[in-house]
Amino acid sequence: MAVLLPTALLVLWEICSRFAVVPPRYFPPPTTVGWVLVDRVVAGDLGAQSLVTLARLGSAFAIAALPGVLLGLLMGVARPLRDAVEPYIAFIFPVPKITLLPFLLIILGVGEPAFVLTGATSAFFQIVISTLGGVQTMDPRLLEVGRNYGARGARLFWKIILPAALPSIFTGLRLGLGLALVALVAVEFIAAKSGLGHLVYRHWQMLSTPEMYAAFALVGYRLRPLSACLETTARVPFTRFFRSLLDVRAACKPPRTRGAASARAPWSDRRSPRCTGSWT
Amino acid sequence: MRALGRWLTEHWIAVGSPLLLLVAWEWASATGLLREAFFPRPSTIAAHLRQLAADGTLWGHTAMTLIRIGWAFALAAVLGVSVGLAMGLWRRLRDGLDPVFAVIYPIPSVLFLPFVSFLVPPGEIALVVTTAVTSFFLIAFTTTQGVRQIDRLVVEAAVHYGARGWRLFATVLLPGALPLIFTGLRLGLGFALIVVVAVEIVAASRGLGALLWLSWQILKIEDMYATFFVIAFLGALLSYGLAAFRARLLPWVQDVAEP
Repeated sequence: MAVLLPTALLVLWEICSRFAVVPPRYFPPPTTVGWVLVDRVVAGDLGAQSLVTLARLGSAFAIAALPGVLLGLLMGVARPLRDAVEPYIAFIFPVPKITLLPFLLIILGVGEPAFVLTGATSAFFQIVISTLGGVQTMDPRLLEVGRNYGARGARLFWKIILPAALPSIFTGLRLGLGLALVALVAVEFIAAKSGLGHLVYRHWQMLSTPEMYAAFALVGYRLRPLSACLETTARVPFTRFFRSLLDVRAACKPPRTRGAASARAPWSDRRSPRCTGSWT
Repeated sequence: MRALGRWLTEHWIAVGSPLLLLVAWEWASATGLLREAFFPRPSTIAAHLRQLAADGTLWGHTAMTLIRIGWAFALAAVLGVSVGLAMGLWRRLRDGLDPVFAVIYPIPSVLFLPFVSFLVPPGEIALVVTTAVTSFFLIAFTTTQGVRQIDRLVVEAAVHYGARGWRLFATVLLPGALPLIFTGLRLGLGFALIVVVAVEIVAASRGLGALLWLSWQILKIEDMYATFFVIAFLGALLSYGLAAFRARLLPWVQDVAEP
């Protein structure tokens, strides 16, 4: 069924178009589109323009990712910062980011920085919100266990909070990547003179529909390898995360003791703290 | 009064920081620290907003946008919930449609405008249908999920007691899926706003997106800021208003996608 229905739809389209049941000028047969796609990706503008879009997407994502994650984590950890910044995030998050384009165009001038930044803001807010959500909705028991074992400050953050927030962070990154692509393609459609979005627009205006559909299909396909890339990177920290969870006691300092006795105390071996039984 | 005072002591940073920013912005633009051509003073923007509202321009554009969102959302909701329910109930259909949706869904919705304008008469209808596309997919996805996540035990118990057909659907499956359906509708409405503005920038002469783009093209910076604030206000109203509405309507479930 998973193969049958899509194939049936394509075949139906092909037949309708070939026998002019639907106007082939507007709905060219899929085989024609496929042929144009192969032809133009290898030797024409389609390949080059999709690289342009890809480069923009890459830089937008690079600009948004690190600051977004950092701000989200900081907001999750520091209450005053969260109170101060949250109104802006809440205000701008539901706004379509494409509306920021005219402002950036005025401030930065018409050009690459304005286009890329529009995509970057789109990803940024999503990443901040997901990261913050990850810190806020973490299992409080993890925090308590960590605290009971004496982890605080940087240690609590690296060993407990960050691993617990990682799944949400990666979800945020993936969503952010998608949103950045949406914004960038819209920007290309509207304002830029290059990229896949512009290609769709131009071929629409010229009514060269096979090329239009080819570019259209490429946009849908574009995100796949990037998303897959992100997912494999996500898997590496995940395995480490689960191991560090199992190792949560190892992450924590032994309980503080009075006097010099602690130096030779049996629990100074971090892997077997003496108080193992006390919290069960 | 005391409640207000307590609320303020709790939230003074959240209230104070935007106020501080506005004051700083006003001061920086007035003294020329920020170029007033790019960053007009908040008071000037407010004056322009008042003027836009007074001569009726703003209301016309806002109404246009709201009408488009309304139609697009209605279209997406009816189709999305029915397709989603069907996909949740019949495995065959889900298997068949999933790959199709997976290819179409990530395509940014503005790009559907050319395709849709071939399919339906171009103009207002094409704008509305384009706006509905992304919302439709979101609503269909979440509705399918909503049906699928219903506890098997509950369904089996219902079947055991003789509920089947319409009765099973109306008393067990639909209520079980309702929380996620509502989440889908909320997300869909939010996306309808995002897409409608983009589509208006590209292809409309009326509506808030068109007003924003026009103000940019004739370099009426103050009007641009004013329009932006109206759009932001609409967005906040939609997303937080719906969240509050949902909390009242379905108080027993946690929202999965709370921003």
